Amino acid sequence: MKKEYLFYKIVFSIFSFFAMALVYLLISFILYKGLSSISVELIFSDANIVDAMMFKERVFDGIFPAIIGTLMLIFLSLIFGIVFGVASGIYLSIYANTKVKEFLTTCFELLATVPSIIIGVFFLLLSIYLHKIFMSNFLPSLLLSSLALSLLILPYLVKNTQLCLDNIPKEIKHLGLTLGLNKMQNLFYILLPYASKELTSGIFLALGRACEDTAVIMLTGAVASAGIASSVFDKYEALPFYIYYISSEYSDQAELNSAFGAALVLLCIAILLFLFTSLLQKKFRKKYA
Amino acid sequence: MLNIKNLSLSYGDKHIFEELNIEIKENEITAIVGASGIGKSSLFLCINQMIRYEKSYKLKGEILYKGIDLMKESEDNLTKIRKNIIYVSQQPDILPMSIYENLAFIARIHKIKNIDEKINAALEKVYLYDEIKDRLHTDATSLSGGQQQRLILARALLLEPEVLLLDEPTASLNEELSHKIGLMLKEHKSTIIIISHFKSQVKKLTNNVYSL
Repeated sequence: MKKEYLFYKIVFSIFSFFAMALVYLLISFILYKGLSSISVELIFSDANIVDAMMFKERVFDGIFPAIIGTLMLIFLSLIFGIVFGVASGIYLSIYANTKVKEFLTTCFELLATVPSIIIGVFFLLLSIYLHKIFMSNFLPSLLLSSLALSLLILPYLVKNTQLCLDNIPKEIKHLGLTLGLNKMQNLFYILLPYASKELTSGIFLALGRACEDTAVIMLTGAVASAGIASSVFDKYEALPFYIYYISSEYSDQAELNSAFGAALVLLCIAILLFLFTSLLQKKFRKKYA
Repeated sequence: MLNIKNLSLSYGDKHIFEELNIEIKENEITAIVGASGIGKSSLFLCINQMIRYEKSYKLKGEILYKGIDLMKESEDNLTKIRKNIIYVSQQPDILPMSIYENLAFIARIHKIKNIDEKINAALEKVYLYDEIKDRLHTDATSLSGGQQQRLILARALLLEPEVLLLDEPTASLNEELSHKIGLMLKEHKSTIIIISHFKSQVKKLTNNVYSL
């Protein structure tokens, strides 16, 4: 029994070690390649930093517009994704009957299996259709990319919300009702605060997915040099697309290194967003306590 | 106050109880005794109609509360009625927040005035105030089983319901505290229904004892 336990302990430790080693290898590689190429010039090129940050001067050749574009994209996708995803998850967990639940769960699971390029193509065709039939000014844009990305992360948000609410212990699930609260009060005062930590974790995972996807945005509005979008109907720059574009079309080593620099910036954005989510989790817990 | 007429409950093909008739008198304690698994807690779920959320249960008969048949009431009306028929479960359903917030959140929602005073009074009634007065704002889940049980009893008392449904309210308490809580309930002016395994325990509190 002890030998068997030891055997499995060693086997599982080896697998976890390799998984961890791969993560460290990847991060170290990006750090090694990216750190040497990160500079003010990479971000702002020859533009005045203050003016660029105040959006008074346009940055050409720097990744500043791509950083802003990525942040805007994540923000908008999360808003659309959270509204539709969390609402659908709540509906599936609390209101839907068994048949509707089974049907919708299958639909969202199917959606999760759709490759992002297909979602990109669908939204591209949708924009062409809308452009031809209804709105001549409707073109691939930040709004279209955000909607496409939110559809991409929707299944994760729905499933996560549903699981968080389903996993609440039965006595807590009905607590509000036994204390004279209606279903909505029970949801907002008890269930959602109870599951807030897990809900924000799920939102962060979805956020990570939205951060890195290139296939969707390259078809729906991201371009190489658009500057900072002045409205959601404009084309925009984004870091994942910049990294893809440079690494597939670079002419010299210095140009390729700038892609590593951009990758490092993207990694930092992801880490910052992770820290921000953790802070939110703590704040939720504190407020709840 | 509360009249249970010809109440039958079944789960799938299994009959839990049949043709149950109980009359609950206003401002008195009524006890329901019986062995484990006989359906005592299920009876409480029938009274506050939380049984509606349980799958595969079938309920027949009447549960009259002030002449209203609860089984025919809409969900909206039941929400209002449940504020006056508070169920205190055997398993303390404590939320992962502070001791104070566990009581205050529900008081705020029901717009109870002078919350702090009433919370202190409720905690004193269940002999918990002295034990926790210095750590009201610490995590309630760190309380012992007996303290948690008294906390949810305090939460119920805070809402001043007309009917209290108490499922083994002293199961996790020592003899002295059980006795004190028993005396407090005896003096408490509301309709109380208590579930217990043992007739001898509830005989000290009331003569209205029904066996399931």
